Amino acid sequence: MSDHDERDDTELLTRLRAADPASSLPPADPHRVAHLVEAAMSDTGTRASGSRESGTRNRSPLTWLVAAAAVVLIGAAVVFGLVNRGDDTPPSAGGPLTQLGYQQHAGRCMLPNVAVLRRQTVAFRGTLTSLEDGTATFDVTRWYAGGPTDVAKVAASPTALDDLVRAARLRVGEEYLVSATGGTVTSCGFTGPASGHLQDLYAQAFGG
Amino acid sequence: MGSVEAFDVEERRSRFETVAREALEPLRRFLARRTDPTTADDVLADTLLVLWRRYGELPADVLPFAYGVARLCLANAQRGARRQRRVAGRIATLDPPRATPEPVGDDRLAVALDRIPSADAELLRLWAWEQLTPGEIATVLDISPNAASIRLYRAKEKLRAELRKVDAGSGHESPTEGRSR
Repeated sequence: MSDHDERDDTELLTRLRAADPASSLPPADPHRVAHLVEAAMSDTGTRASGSRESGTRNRSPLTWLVAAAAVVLIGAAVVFGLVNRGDDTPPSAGGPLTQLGYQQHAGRCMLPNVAVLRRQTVAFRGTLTSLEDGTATFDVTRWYAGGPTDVAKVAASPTALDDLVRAARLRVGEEYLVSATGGTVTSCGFTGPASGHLQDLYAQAFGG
Repeated sequence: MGSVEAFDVEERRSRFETVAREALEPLRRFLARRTDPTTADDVLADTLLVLWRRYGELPADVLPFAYGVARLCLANAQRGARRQRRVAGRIATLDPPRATPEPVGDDRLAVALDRIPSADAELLRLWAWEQLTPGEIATVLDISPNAASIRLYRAKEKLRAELRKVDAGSGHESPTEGRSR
Protein backbone atom coordinates (compact mmCIF):
# COMPACT_ATOMS: atom_id res chain seq x y z
CA MET A 1 0.00 0.00 0.00
CA SER A 2 1.43 3.39 -0.93
CA ASP A 3 1.76 6.33 1.47
CA HIS A 4 -1.03 7.98 -0.45
CA ASP A 5 -3.34 4.99 0.07
CA GLU A 6 -2.49 4.84 3.75
CA ARG A 7 -3.23 8.54 4.17
CA ASP A 8 -6.54 8.09 2.33
CA ASP A 9 -7.37 5.11 4.55
CA THR A 10 -6.58 7.05 7.69
CA GLU A 11 -8.81 9.92 6.57
CA LEU A 12 -11.65 7.57 5.75
CA LEU A 13 -11.24 5.66 9.00
CA THR A 14 -11.20 8.88 11.04
CA ARG A 15 -14.32 10.14 9.34
CA LEU A 16 -16.19 6.86 9.80
CA ARG A 17 -15.16 6.46 13.43
CA ALA A 18 -16.22 10.00 14.24
CA ALA A 19 -19.70 9.08 13.00
CA ASP A 20 -20.02 5.82 14.96
CA PRO A 21 -23.66 5.64 16.14
CA ALA A 22 -22.61 3.46 19.09
CA SER A 23 -20.08 5.95 20.42
CA SER A 24 -22.57 7.32 22.94
CA LEU A 25 -24.00 3.95 23.95
CA PRO A 26 -23.85 3.71 27.75
CA PRO A 27 -22.47 0.47 29.22
CA ALA A 28 -25.01 -2.25 29.91
CA ASP A 29 -26.59 -2.49 33.32
CA PRO A 30 -24.57 -5.19 35.19
CA HIS A 31 -27.78 -6.84 36.40
CA ARG A 32 -29.00 -7.04 32.83
CA VAL A 33 -25.68 -8.57 31.75
CA ALA A 34 -25.85 -11.18 34.48
CA HIS A 35 -29.44 -11.98 33.54
CA LEU A 36 -28.63 -12.34 29.83
CA VAL A 37 -25.66 -14.62 30.42
CA GLU A 38 -27.56 -16.73 32.94
CA ALA A 39 -30.57 -16.97 30.61
CA ALA A 40 -28.36 -18.27 27.80
CA MET A 41 -26.72 -20.87 30.03
CA SER A 42 -30.00 -22.09 31.43
CA ASP A 43 -31.43 -22.79 28.00
CA THR A 44 -32.75 -26.31 27.73
CA GLY A 45 -30.96 -26.74 24.41
CA THR A 46 -27.78 -26.65 26.43
CA ARG A 47 -28.23 -30.19 27.62
CA ALA A 48 -28.61 -31.28 24.06
CA SER A 49 -25.47 -29.43 23.13
CA GLY A 50 -23.67 -30.91 26.13
CA SER A 51 -24.58 -34.32 24.87
CA ARG A 52 -23.43 -33.33 21.43
CA GLU A 53 -19.81 -33.18 22.41
CA SER A 54 -19.78 -36.85 23.11
CA GLY A 55 -22.70 -37.37 20.78
CA THR A 56 -23.55 -40.65 22.44
CA ARG A 57 -26.32 -40.01 24.90
CA ASN A 58 -29.99 -40.70 24.44
CA ARG A 59 -29.43 -42.90 21.44
CA SER A 60 -31.50 -46.01 21.11
CA PRO A 61 -29.89 -49.37 20.32
CA LEU A 62 -31.63 -49.25 16.96
CA THR A 63 -29.82 -46.01 16.14
CA TRP A 64 -26.52 -47.69 16.84
CA LEU A 65 -27.47 -50.68 14.73
CA VAL A 66 -28.41 -48.48 11.79
CA ALA A 67 -25.28 -46.37 12.23
CA ALA A 68 -23.05 -49.45 12.38
CA ALA A 69 -24.66 -50.91 9.29
CA ALA A 70 -24.20 -47.65 7.46
CA VAL A 71 -20.57 -47.40 8.45
CA VAL A 72 -19.92 -50.90 7.14
CA LEU A 73 -21.71 -50.07 3.91
CA ILE A 74 -19.85 -46.87 3.35
CA GLY A 75 -16.52 -48.20 4.55
CA ALA A 76 -13.53 -46.42 3.24
CA ALA A 77 -15.29 -45.38 0.07
CA VAL A 78 -16.61 -42.19 1.57
CA VAL A 79 -16.48 -39.49 -0.99
CA PHE A 80 -14.85 -36.51 0.57
CA GLY A 81 -15.15 -34.51 -2.61
CA LEU A 82 -18.76 -33.97 -1.62
CA VAL A 83 -17.84 -31.74 1.22
CA ASN A 84 -14.60 -30.14 0.09
CA ARG A 85 -14.97 -26.44 -0.03
CA GLY A 86 -14.78 -25.00 -3.48
CA ASP A 87 -12.70 -22.01 -4.42
CA ASP A 88 -12.76 -18.78 -2.51
CA THR A 89 -15.65 -17.45 -4.50
CA PRO A 90 -18.75 -17.63 -2.34
CA PRO A 91 -22.21 -17.86 -3.81
CA SER A 92 -23.62 -14.50 -4.67
CA ALA A 93 -24.94 -13.75 -1.23
CA GLY A 94 -25.15 -10.33 0.29
CA GLY A 95 -27.67 -9.00 -2.20
CA PRO A 96 -31.35 -9.83 -2.21
CA LEU A 97 -30.70 -13.25 -3.69
CA THR A 98 -28.46 -16.24 -3.09
CA GLN A 99 -27.77 -18.16 -6.30
CA LEU A 100 -26.81 -21.79 -6.06
CA GLY A 101 -26.29 -24.61 -8.49
CA TYR A 102 -26.69 -28.35 -8.29
CA GLN A 103 -25.05 -31.33 -9.90
CA GLN A 104 -25.96 -34.93 -9.55
CA HIS A 105 -23.68 -36.62 -7.10
CA ALA A 106 -21.82 -39.40 -8.83
CA GLY A 107 -20.06 -41.11 -5.91
CA ARG A 108 -21.25 -42.74 -2.75
CA CYS A 109 -22.66 -40.67 0.05
CA MET A 110 -21.58 -40.27 3.63
CA LEU A 111 -24.15 -40.21 6.39
CA PRO A 112 -25.41 -36.71 7.13
CA ASN A 113 -23.59 -35.52 10.22
CA VAL A 114 -22.93 -32.42 12.27
CA ALA A 115 -19.23 -32.08 11.43
CA VAL A 116 -19.90 -31.98 7.72
CA LEU A 117 -22.85 -29.65 8.11
CA ARG A 118 -20.67 -27.19 9.98
CA ARG A 119 -18.33 -27.04 7.01
CA GLN A 120 -21.10 -26.00 4.63
CA THR A 121 -20.64 -22.45 3.39
CA VAL A 122 -24.37 -22.00 2.89
CA ALA A 123 -27.08 -23.43 5.13
CA PHE A 124 -30.64 -22.23 5.49
CA ARG A 125 -34.20 -23.17 6.25
CA GLY A 126 -36.76 -22.06 3.71
CA THR A 127 -40.03 -22.72 1.99
CA LEU A 128 -39.97 -23.89 -1.61
CA THR A 129 -42.08 -21.28 -3.38
CA SER A 130 -41.64 -22.37 -6.97
CA LEU A 131 -40.12 -25.11 -9.04
CA GLU A 132 -40.05 -24.05 -12.65
CA ASP A 133 -37.77 -23.08 -15.54
CA GLY A 134 -34.93 -25.17 -14.16
CA THR A 135 -34.95 -23.29 -10.88
CA ALA A 136 -36.05 -24.11 -7.36
CA THR A 137 -36.82 -20.92 -5.44
CA PHE A 138 -36.78 -20.80 -1.65
CA ASP A 139 -38.18 -18.11 0.58
CA VAL A 140 -35.61 -18.26 3.36
CA THR A 141 -36.90 -18.20 6.92
CA ARG A 142 -33.61 -18.76 8.73
CA TRP A 143 -29.97 -18.54 7.79
CA TYR A 144 -27.47 -20.77 9.54
CA ALA A 145 -24.46 -20.02 7.33
CA GLY A 146 -23.82 -17.78 4.35
CA GLY A 147 -26.46 -15.42 3.05
CA PRO A 148 -28.28 -13.74 4.56
CA THR A 149 -30.72 -12.99 1.75
CA ASP A 150 -34.49 -13.27 1.60
CA VAL A 151 -34.52 -15.59 -1.37
CA ALA A 152 -32.29 -18.43 -2.52
CA LYS A 153 -32.49 -19.99 -5.97
CA VAL A 154 -31.04 -23.28 -7.09
CA ALA A 155 -30.59 -23.45 -10.84
CA ALA A 156 -29.66 -26.69 -12.56
CA SER A 157 -30.06 -28.63 -15.76
CA PRO A 158 -33.45 -30.40 -16.09
CA THR A 159 -31.87 -33.78 -15.32
CA ALA A 160 -29.99 -32.50 -12.31
CA LEU A 161 -33.02 -30.66 -10.99
CA ASP A 162 -35.13 -33.79 -11.34
CA ASP A 163 -32.50 -35.60 -9.33
CA LEU A 164 -32.60 -32.92 -6.63
CA VAL A 165 -36.40 -33.04 -6.54
CA ARG A 166 -36.22 -36.77 -5.91
CA ALA A 167 -33.27 -36.68 -3.52
CA ALA A 168 -34.61 -33.86 -1.38
CA ARG A 169 -38.30 -34.71 -1.91
CA LEU A 170 -39.04 -31.18 -3.09
CA ARG A 171 -42.66 -30.06 -3.16
CA VAL A 172 -43.79 -26.49 -3.55
CA GLY A 173 -45.12 -25.05 -0.30
CA GLU A 174 -43.08 -27.35 1.95
CA GLU A 175 -40.23 -26.31 4.20
CA TYR A 176 -36.67 -27.51 3.62
CA LEU A 177 -33.22 -27.43 5.09
CA VAL A 178 -30.70 -26.69 2.38
CA SER A 179 -26.91 -26.65 2.52
CA ALA A 180 -24.24 -25.98 -0.06
CA THR A 181 -20.48 -25.64 -0.53
CA GLY A 182 -18.68 -23.87 -3.35
CA GLY A 183 -22.04 -22.60 -4.60
CA THR A 184 -23.39 -26.11 -5.15
CA VAL A 185 -26.17 -27.69 -3.13
CA THR A 186 -25.10 -30.70 -1.11
CA SER A 187 -27.48 -33.59 -1.50
CA CYS A 188 -26.83 -37.03 -0.03
CA GLY A 189 -29.30 -36.35 2.77
CA PHE A 190 -27.78 -33.00 3.78
CA THR A 191 -30.63 -31.19 2.01
CA GLY A 192 -34.19 -32.27 2.60
CA PRO A 193 -37.50 -31.65 4.35
CA ALA A 194 -37.21 -29.60 7.55
CA SER A 195 -38.19 -32.29 9.98
CA GLY A 196 -36.97 -35.22 12.03
CA HIS A 197 -33.33 -36.19 12.12
CA LEU A 198 -32.19 -33.61 9.58
CA GLN A 199 -33.78 -30.86 11.65
CA ASP A 200 -31.97 -32.16 14.73
CA LEU A 201 -28.68 -32.22 12.85
CA TYR A 202 -29.05 -28.60 11.71
CA ALA A 203 -29.97 -27.53 15.25
CA GLN A 204 -26.91 -29.31 16.60
CA ALA A 205 -24.61 -27.97 13.93
CA PHE A 206 -25.74 -24.35 14.05
CA GLY A 207 -27.12 -23.91 17.53
CA GLY A 208 -30.75 -23.31 16.78
CA MET B 1 -19.08 -39.99 37.40
CA GLY B 2 -21.77 -37.65 38.57
CA SER B 3 -19.26 -35.39 40.24
CA VAL B 4 -16.98 -35.34 37.17
CA GLU B 5 -19.94 -34.40 35.02
CA ALA B 6 -20.94 -31.70 37.47
CA PHE B 7 -17.39 -30.37 37.42
CA ASP B 8 -17.43 -30.26 33.60
CA VAL B 9 -20.67 -28.36 33.59
CA GLU B 10 -19.40 -25.91 36.18
CA GLU B 11 -16.16 -25.40 34.31
CA ARG B 12 -18.03 -24.90 31.08
CA ARG B 13 -20.39 -22.39 32.69
CA SER B 14 -17.51 -20.53 34.26
CA ARG B 15 -15.58 -20.31 30.98
CA PHE B 16 -18.63 -19.28 29.03
CA GLU B 17 -19.46 -16.59 31.55
CA THR B 18 -15.99 -15.09 31.10
CA VAL B 19 -16.23 -15.24 27.32
CA ALA B 20 -19.79 -13.87 27.25
CA ARG B 21 -18.99 -10.96 29.54
CA GLU B 22 -16.01 -10.02 27.38
CA ALA B 23 -18.00 -10.25 24.16
CA LEU B 24 -21.18 -8.64 25.44
CA GLU B 25 -20.23 -4.96 25.19
CA PRO B 26 -18.73 -5.27 21.70
CA LEU B 27 -21.81 -7.24 20.63
CA ARG B 28 -24.13 -4.55 22.05
CA ARG B 29 -22.27 -1.94 20.05
CA PHE B 30 -22.29 -4.10 16.94
CA LEU B 31 -26.09 -4.37 17.19
CA ALA B 32 -26.65 -0.74 18.19
CA ARG B 33 -24.89 0.24 14.96
CA ARG B 34 -27.24 -1.88 12.89
CA THR B 35 -30.71 -1.91 14.35
CA ASP B 36 -33.18 -0.33 16.78
CA PRO B 37 -32.70 -0.80 20.56
CA THR B 38 -35.53 -3.32 21.00
CA THR B 39 -34.37 -5.57 18.19
CA ALA B 40 -30.77 -5.17 19.39
CA ASP B 41 -31.81 -6.41 22.83
CA ASP B 42 -33.63 -9.44 21.45
CA VAL B 43 -30.85 -10.33 19.05
CA LEU B 44 -28.22 -10.00 21.78
CA ALA B 45 -30.08 -12.63 23.80
CA ASP B 46 -30.38 -14.87 20.72
CA THR B 47 -26.69 -14.47 19.97
CA LEU B 48 -25.63 -15.44 23.49
CA LEU B 49 -27.90 -18.44 23.28
CA VAL B 50 -26.34 -19.64 20.03
CA LEU B 51 -22.84 -19.03 21.41
CA TRP B 52 -23.69 -21.12 24.47
CA ARG B 53 -25.08 -23.90 22.31
CA ARG B 54 -22.00 -23.76 20.11
CA TYR B 55 -19.62 -23.52 23.03
CA GLY B 56 -17.51 -26.39 21.74
CA GLU B 57 -16.81 -24.49 18.52
CA LEU B 58 -15.77 -21.17 20.02
CA PRO B 59 -12.33 -20.21 18.71
CA ALA B 60 -9.64 -18.57 20.84
CA ASP B 61 -10.47 -15.24 19.26
CA VAL B 62 -14.17 -15.29 20.02
CA LEU B 63 -15.25 -11.85 18.91
CA PRO B 64 -15.22 -12.18 15.10
CA PHE B 65 -17.02 -15.52 15.44
CA ALA B 66 -19.55 -13.89 17.80
CA TYR B 67 -20.11 -11.02 15.35
CA GLY B 68 -20.77 -13.61 12.64
CA VAL B 69 -23.39 -15.28 14.84
CA ALA B 70 -24.96 -11.91 15.72
CA ARG B 71 -25.06 -10.95 12.06
CA LEU B 72 -27.08 -14.03 11.17
CA CYS B 73 -29.34 -13.70 14.23
CA LEU B 74 -30.05 -10.08 13.28
CA ALA B 75 -30.80 -11.00 9.68
CA ASN B 76 -33.17 -13.73 10.86
CA ALA B 77 -34.93 -11.35 13.26
CA GLN B 78 -35.34 -8.71 10.56
CA ARG B 79 -36.61 -11.26 8.07
CA GLY B 80 -39.13 -12.50 10.64
CA ALA B 81 -40.30 -8.93 11.30
CA ARG B 82 -40.73 -8.27 7.59
CA ARG B 83 -42.75 -11.44 7.26
CA GLN B 84 -44.99 -10.44 10.18
CA ARG B 85 -45.61 -7.06 8.57
CA ARG B 86 -46.55 -8.75 5.33
CA VAL B 87 -48.90 -11.13 7.15
CA ALA B 88 -50.44 -8.18 8.98
CA GLY B 89 -51.15 -6.65 5.60
CA ARG B 90 -49.07 -3.60 6.14
CA ILE B 91 -47.28 -2.30 3.12
CA ALA B 92 -43.59 -2.20 3.80
CA THR B 93 -42.98 0.72 1.49
CA LEU B 94 -45.29 2.88 3.56
CA ASP B 95 -43.61 1.88 6.77
CA PRO B 96 -40.01 1.10 5.90
CA PRO B 97 -37.97 -0.07 8.85
CA ARG B 98 -34.71 1.82 9.22
CA ALA B 99 -32.52 -1.25 9.42
CA THR B 100 -29.25 0.56 9.87
CA PRO B 101 -28.82 3.51 12.20
CA GLU B 102 -27.22 6.39 10.36
CA PRO B 103 -23.73 7.66 11.04
CA VAL B 104 -23.91 10.38 13.64
CA GLY B 105 -23.12 14.00 12.85
CA ASP B 106 -22.03 13.53 9.24
CA ASP B 107 -24.97 13.66 6.88
CA ARG B 108 -22.82 13.50 3.76
CA LEU B 109 -21.14 10.34 4.99
CA ALA B 110 -24.60 8.89 5.70
CA VAL B 111 -25.69 9.67 2.14
CA ALA B 112 -22.52 8.19 0.64
CA LEU B 113 -22.81 5.01 2.73
CA ASP B 114 -26.41 4.67 1.66
CA ARG B 115 -25.49 4.93 -2.02
CA ILE B 116 -22.91 2.14 -2.09
CA PRO B 117 -24.06 -1.50 -2.09
CA SER B 118 -25.11 -2.65 1.39
CA ALA B 119 -22.50 -5.44 1.40
CA ASP B 120 -19.77 -2.83 0.85
CA ALA B 121 -21.18 -0.58 3.57
CA GLU B 122 -21.16 -3.53 5.96
CA LEU B 123 -17.50 -4.27 5.20
CA LEU B 124 -16.66 -0.66 5.99
CA ARG B 125 -18.62 -0.74 9.24
CA LEU B 126 -16.77 -3.89 10.31
CA TRP B 127 -13.46 -2.24 9.41
CA ALA B 128 -14.06 1.16 10.97
CA TRP B 129 -16.56 0.63 13.76
CA GLU B 130 -15.74 -2.89 14.92
CA GLN B 131 -12.11 -2.16 14.04
CA LEU B 132 -11.54 -5.57 12.52
CA THR B 133 -8.68 -6.69 10.29
CA PRO B 134 -9.49 -8.24 6.90
CA GLY B 135 -8.79 -11.67 8.45
CA GLU B 136 -11.33 -11.02 11.20
CA ILE B 137 -13.84 -9.61 8.72
CA ALA B 138 -13.42 -12.85 6.79
CA THR B 139 -14.49 -14.80 9.89
CA VAL B 140 -17.56 -12.60 10.41
CA LEU B 141 -18.70 -12.90 6.80
CA ASP B 142 -17.53 -16.48 6.35
CA ILE B 143 -15.40 -15.65 3.34
CA SER B 144 -11.68 -16.09 2.69
CA PRO B 145 -9.24 -13.49 4.07
CA ASN B 146 -8.14 -12.79 0.52
CA ALA B 147 -11.69 -12.09 -0.60
CA ALA B 148 -12.23 -9.87 2.47
CA SER B 149 -9.10 -7.83 1.62
CA ILE B 150 -10.11 -7.33 -1.98
CA ARG B 151 -13.71 -6.46 -1.16
CA LEU B 152 -12.66 -4.08 1.60
CA TYR B 153 -10.29 -2.29 -0.77
CA ARG B 154 -13.06 -1.93 -3.36
CA ALA B 155 -15.56 -0.80 -0.73
CA LYS B 156 -13.21 1.96 0.39
CA GLU B 157 -12.79 3.08 -3.22
CA LYS B 158 -16.55 3.15 -3.72
CA LEU B 159 -17.14 5.14 -0.55
CA ARG B 160 -14.41 7.64 -1.46
CA ALA B 161 -15.95 8.07 -4.91
CA GLU B 162 -19.42 8.62 -3.45
CA LEU B 163 -18.07 11.02 -0.85
CA ARG B 164 -16.39 13.04 -3.58
CA LYS B 165 -19.72 13.24 -5.43
CA VAL B 166 -21.69 14.13 -2.32
CA ASP B 167 -19.10 16.63 -1.14
CA ALA B 168 -18.93 18.21 -4.59
CA GLY B 169 -22.72 18.35 -4.80
CA SER B 170 -22.93 20.16 -1.51
CA GLY B 171 -20.19 22.61 -2.45
CA HIS B 172 -17.64 21.27 0.00
CA GLU B 173 -14.14 20.18 -0.82
CA SER B 174 -12.77 18.96 2.45
CA PRO B 175 -14.18 15.67 3.69
CA THR B 176 -14.15 16.92 7.27
CA GLU B 177 -15.71 20.27 6.58
CA GLY B 178 -19.27 21.32 7.04
CA ARG B 179 -20.57 18.63 9.34
CA SER B 180 -24.15 19.42 9.90
CA ARG B 181 -24.24 18.45 13.54
